[in-house]
Amino acid sequence: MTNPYLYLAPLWLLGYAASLLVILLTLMALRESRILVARDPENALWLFLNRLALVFAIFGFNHIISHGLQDLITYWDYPHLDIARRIFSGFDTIIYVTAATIIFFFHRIQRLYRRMEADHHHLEETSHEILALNREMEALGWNAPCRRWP
Amino acid sequence: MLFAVSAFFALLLISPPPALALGLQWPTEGSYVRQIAHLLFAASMLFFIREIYYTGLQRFGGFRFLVWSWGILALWNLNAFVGNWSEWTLSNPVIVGHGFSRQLLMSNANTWLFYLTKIDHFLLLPPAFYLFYRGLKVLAREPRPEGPGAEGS
Repeated sequence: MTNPYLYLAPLWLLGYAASLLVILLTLMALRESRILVARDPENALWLFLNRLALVFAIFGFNHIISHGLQDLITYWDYPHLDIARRIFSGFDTIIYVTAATIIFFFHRIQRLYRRMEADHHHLEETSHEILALNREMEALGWNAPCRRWP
Repeated sequence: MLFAVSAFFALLLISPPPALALGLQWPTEGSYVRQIAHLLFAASMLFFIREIYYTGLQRFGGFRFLVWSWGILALWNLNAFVGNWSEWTLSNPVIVGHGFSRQLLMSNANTWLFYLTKIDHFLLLPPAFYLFYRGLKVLAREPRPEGPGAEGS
């Protein structure tokens, strides 16, 4: 039984179709993340998703360039483009590390943000309680003796 | 800026070939860094899925889409890791033809692994980013008081 030969062109065409789709989808995701940030600019979660969408959009563009260069080298015999391919592959690697770093750091920021939110609510509740207590004391005439001082 | 980038590529295209190495060689520093970056990216995606469940965000529809998106991206990273390893360890692959008619001789299991991981690579990325977009869209359309933003989560 002889080993079969498989065309490499489908990989190339499939790759470009997928890469174009990824660019489109990441740009659409970036637009949605901006809507979320515009709705609540101080929400750490929306800011995080916005930054992640931005990194993915950069990834989409960089990925198609590095794959395009790879195909120019493999299919169209441009070995001297290898230096450019190495540069863009390096950017690809940096993007993976950046995305991972954003996610790992987000864990800490998320917890800090939640604690700050809880403290904020607690302060608001305490403030309301003090205000209500003050009104009750006023209604009971608690400050009346003070008025008798000369 | 655009002119400078275009000029850079034009110069690369018309410059005489200096016979640099074709494709990546496995034992370079860059290869190891890339493989580690893929594993790190996959780990961060799995970590984020855990965080979504830990903070109870999975009860929102948008985050359920994001969980699937992170899961597929983690799988893509593992697939890319195996695919890169397979590509860089291909020993003397037999390629015949030119341009679009180039064909690869499927001589052993590693050649098949290389071909199949290349297909998976392109089948996984578009669904992952579609689910990411869909998740954000659902979150952006959710009424404010019921969304996770209202809780400051």
